[in-house]
Amino acid sequence: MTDRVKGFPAFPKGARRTLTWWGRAWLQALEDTSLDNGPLRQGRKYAQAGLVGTITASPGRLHAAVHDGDEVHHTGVLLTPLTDAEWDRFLAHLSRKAGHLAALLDHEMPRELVDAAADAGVPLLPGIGDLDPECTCDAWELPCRHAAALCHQAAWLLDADPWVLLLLRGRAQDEVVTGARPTAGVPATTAYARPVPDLPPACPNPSPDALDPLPEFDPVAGLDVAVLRLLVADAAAKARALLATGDWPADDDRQDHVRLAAAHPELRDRLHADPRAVHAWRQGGRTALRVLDQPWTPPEADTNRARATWRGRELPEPVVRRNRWTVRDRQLRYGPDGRWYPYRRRPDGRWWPTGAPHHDPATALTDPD
Amino acid sequence: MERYPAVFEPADPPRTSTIAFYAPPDHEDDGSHAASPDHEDVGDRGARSGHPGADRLTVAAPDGGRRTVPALRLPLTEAIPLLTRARRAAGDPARPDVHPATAFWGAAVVLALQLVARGRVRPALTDTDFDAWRLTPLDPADHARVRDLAAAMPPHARAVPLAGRDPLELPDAEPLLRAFLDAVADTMPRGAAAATAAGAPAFAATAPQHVPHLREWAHQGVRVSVRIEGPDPFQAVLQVHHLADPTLVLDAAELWPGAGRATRADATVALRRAARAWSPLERLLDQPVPDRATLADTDVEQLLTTGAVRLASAGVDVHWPTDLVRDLTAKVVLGDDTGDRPTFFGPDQLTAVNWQLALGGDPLTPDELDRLAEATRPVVRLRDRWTLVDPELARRARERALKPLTAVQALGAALTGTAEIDGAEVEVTATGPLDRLRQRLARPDAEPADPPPGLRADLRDYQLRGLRWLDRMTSLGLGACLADDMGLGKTITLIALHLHRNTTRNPETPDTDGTAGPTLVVCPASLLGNWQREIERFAPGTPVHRYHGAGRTLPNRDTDTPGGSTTAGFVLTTYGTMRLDADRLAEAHWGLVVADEAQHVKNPASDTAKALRRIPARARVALTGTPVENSLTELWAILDWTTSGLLGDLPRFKARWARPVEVDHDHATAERFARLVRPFLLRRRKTDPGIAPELPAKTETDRPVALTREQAALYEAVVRELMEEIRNADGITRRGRVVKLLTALKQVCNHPAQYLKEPRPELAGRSGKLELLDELLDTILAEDGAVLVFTQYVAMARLLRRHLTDRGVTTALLHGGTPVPERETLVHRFQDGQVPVFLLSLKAAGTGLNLTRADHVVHYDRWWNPAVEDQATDRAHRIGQTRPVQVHRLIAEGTVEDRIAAMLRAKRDLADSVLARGDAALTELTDDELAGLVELRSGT
Repeated sequence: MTDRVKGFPAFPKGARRTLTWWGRAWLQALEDTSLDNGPLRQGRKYAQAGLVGTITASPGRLHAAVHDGDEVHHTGVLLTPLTDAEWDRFLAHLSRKAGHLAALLDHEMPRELVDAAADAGVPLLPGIGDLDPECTCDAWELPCRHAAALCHQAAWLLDADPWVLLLLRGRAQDEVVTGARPTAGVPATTAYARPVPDLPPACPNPSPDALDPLPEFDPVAGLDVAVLRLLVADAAAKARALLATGDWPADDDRQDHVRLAAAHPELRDRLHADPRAVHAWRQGGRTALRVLDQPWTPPEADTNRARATWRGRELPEPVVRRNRWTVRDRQLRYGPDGRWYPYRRRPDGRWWPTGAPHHDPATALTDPD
Repeated sequence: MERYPAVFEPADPPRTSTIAFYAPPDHEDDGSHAASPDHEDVGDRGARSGHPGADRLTVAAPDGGRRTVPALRLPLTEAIPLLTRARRAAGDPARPDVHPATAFWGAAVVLALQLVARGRVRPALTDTDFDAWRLTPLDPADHARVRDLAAAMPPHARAVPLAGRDPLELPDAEPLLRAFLDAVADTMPRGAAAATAAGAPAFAATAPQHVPHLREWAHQGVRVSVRIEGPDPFQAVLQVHHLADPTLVLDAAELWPGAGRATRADATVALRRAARAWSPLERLLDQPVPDRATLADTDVEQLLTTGAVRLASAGVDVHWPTDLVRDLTAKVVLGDDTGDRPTFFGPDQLTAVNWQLALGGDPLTPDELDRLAEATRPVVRLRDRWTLVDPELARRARERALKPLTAVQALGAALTGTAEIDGAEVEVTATGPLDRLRQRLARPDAEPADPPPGLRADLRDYQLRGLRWLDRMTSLGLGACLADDMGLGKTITLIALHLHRNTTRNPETPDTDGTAGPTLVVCPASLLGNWQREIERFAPGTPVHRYHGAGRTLPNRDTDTPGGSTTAGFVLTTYGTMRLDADRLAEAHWGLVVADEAQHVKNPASDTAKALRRIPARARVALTGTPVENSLTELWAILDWTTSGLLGDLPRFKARWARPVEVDHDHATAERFARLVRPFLLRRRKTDPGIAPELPAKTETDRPVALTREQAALYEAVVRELMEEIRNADGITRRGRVVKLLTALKQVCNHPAQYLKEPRPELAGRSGKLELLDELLDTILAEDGAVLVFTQYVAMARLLRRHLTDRGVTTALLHGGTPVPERETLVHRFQDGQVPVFLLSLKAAGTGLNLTRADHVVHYDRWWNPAVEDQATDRAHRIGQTRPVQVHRLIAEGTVEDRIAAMLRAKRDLADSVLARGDAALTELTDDELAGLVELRSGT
């Protein structure tokens, strides 16, 4: 999730003024809280002298190390975070006008938003007593000069970036922007009562050549953008298969690997796909893969009909084992779809799918590779 | 299974969303057939693992109540094929039992798959930084399909109520449908093989991957534009463009539901900046989704006038409805067809200026104009179509007539095609006679004029064309500047113009009171003599009067002109005299005022320039040999005098023309400016193709100059003193004294300082010859010419060198004492163009010099031996010389130089015999003859 801690580099030495209305409101809360102006003035001097270290802002708390002579004090200012319910109300107000978020993104705090939230009981800016200082020094004033210095610098931070206030109240910028998404709804009774028109007529499925040129992605560490490109093409292929058959083109992970390797030869090595399986997929998809993998015994009637055809065409006498009919270095495998899948024996002694399947064994046997 | 309703439950990341089949709470059946869908119903593929048959689902019932019903949740990998088949079944009349909600999600999955099949998936990050493929980019037609399908979403397809709403609310159809489409898109590219191939799970494996480090990579920047719809009412619609893919444009309404937070944030911030450029867009920011806002007519008017421009400069385009006619244009029309043709451009002539409005180039009728003028909205129905009307155009329709221009201003506007109206540059079109005149002026003359009777010279072809041009411009009262190169005969052309204007009734201007009248020529003092000689030579009988010097008077027309007023003559004066006597000169009625060497008035703030402007004339002509077009302010000074009002006053001229052309190098403005001044400026170069063949290889001109007062006094003293000595001597002594006299007089004519042998003399303002030399050199150097200046006297050559160096002119000096190696260096430098002026003492001009770079030769003093002079001239005019050479012989008026030059001119043969021996021959003259020769006579 989004980080709810943010660090700010220490301010260098130098006089600064708080210029925004929300930054002043923050300082006003500090002054209203304090009973003694002395530490406040000292605090401002410390702030301008650059004695405050890196400031850390997190929900409910600001923290920094403040240098004072030889000593370093750990100083914090506490501010109560909003409850989830308060955040919901605040986000609802934020979502009401797109301009609120735009202003915040431009690092401006819209007064209208703060007022509306306050009216709804969501205090965004601190009021009297809301800034609760803590410090490791032994001064008894509240706030001490260290906490006052931190508060002054916090006002400068707020000037430049009002998101710091929202972080102190509990949420990071990304969360707020995400939460500001308006979700529009319709009363359920209205939705059910409303007549619904017929579905628009179906559009014809796009032809394979309707595929756009593949996008180019900027390279980035940790992603192989060349493969990402191919995934766009592969998604299109899968979508075409689904539209045509009503089913995924592959039944399991192995088939999926073989299928992808058959479609994109450049991925074959990465996919560790069995080359014979890839050949089979190209020959006839998942059925051809089954023919490669599993010998089976066709029904008697099929075998007899095949023998008759074989003789009628005066084909050489085959050696028949289950669904596999072998003539020297050629082999036809009878598939469950009633087609003959041609194979050829390669020098490695294994049978490789070659050519296309046919219903006629003669064509399958003589089909060139 | 298809008989149960399906509902989509979105999740993050989208591929983890589910489709649930459930028993509808409003089922009117007795529950016997469908109370609880389970895997038996799903069919024989998919959904074999995982869920027990009794998932629970909370849905909203039609009565608004909440019900928990039995359901079967399927992951998308299983739901996708199932719904695809359900869609087919729903189209099959034999399968009437497919539930409408299931048929709907079936149609949705088919739509998603069809888009995926076209490659419309791209990697993105969800708001929570998970990897997700999104269905994008979509065409407008695709978005229309999404909207049409969303409109047909049955309530059961979205029956799961939104969290935290009371009373219960169902999600809006379109965002829910888009979320489903994205969920399908996020499923399709993934799989076991995809993950293996990619080598890493992001965007390939089905399991959610948290990849915040890819946020920047996946994020596409956006810009926004505004589409205007209307006109009833006008609306501004926010459009979002992806920077990475400019073809990808989405309405904000389409983008918002599916877009990641970064895209929405970018678009919103871009809109906020656009709203700063045009405030009505703030209305969009006041809405939860900044999709569209209604505009008031005043907003649209503001958009038309300034808003669109400001938005454009903020990088925000405005798109107008295509069916709204936007080609209503306005142009300024000058003149009218009914008026008299402008024949004379006096200051009182006015030309009407009107706005002419046209639709698609077709001028509006008066009726249409009235309708436009009365329009209260930024749209008007014209010719059966809505036409967008810029309020500025409507104002123009109401106030069609503009402030009339003076005739000259109108002509300028007609020539440039633009005018300044209300401080803005506006295109203008001339009509009627003004347009015909514009065409005539813009076209250079093809026909030369007939030479005027009374001109004792043959004008060359280009001179006749120049005469015709001058005649036309002056008879229109427009004035002109003739800026031909020196040597092309500007003086003689002007003399011809004077004769022409005084002898011809101009057929082009039958209704003016003619062009006859005296001509005033204002020129440098050094040129007075030249003018007088040329007039007397080429227009004998034309009165010439020098208005110069002490006791000057203007000729009385009735008494000074023989035969009364039939022949108007020339009055010649200098710039200095004119400055003093401008008021007196202004009282005369000049037919023509000529400013010769008009660069003398190029500083418009000078007293001379101001005085010149005060002298009225029917027409004004400026003559100059310097290329005035190189400095626009100088050109302004000259043309504003010849053609007052054409270029406007100086500050406006600088702002409108000089700065854009000279500083900004604005090509279009330079082109327009050229169109404006070209008709008023005629400049021919000696090297122009049409001119060069007409020029003789060598032109010799005597340049008479007046002596200064100092020279004249000195001259007379020398004559008195030395004539006395001569009378009292004879023989060798006398001859020696005659030579001494002639030498002394020539030196006085050259420069008093030469005669007086002053050690550190002041040179300027003391010698007429020197002033004329300056005049000539200014012009020659402005033309990039090169000149040889010969003098017999090394002392004079040194004086000239000092004088010219003081004026910033680089010179080389060659004389008899110059060592030979240095001579070669000097010649080399001159031939290379490093030194434009070469001073030569005549004696030095012996052999071996080749000075072909020179195109001008000045004989500062006379040798009185034509053969010697010719030899010197030929230094420049050698084989290899491609440029014509002009020879200028400076002659002091009324002096012995003048007298001998006249003899040389009149009786060349005799002179040849008499003067063959040069000065020596003169020593034979009697005292009286000699006295008559050297006596100083008045120039007039």
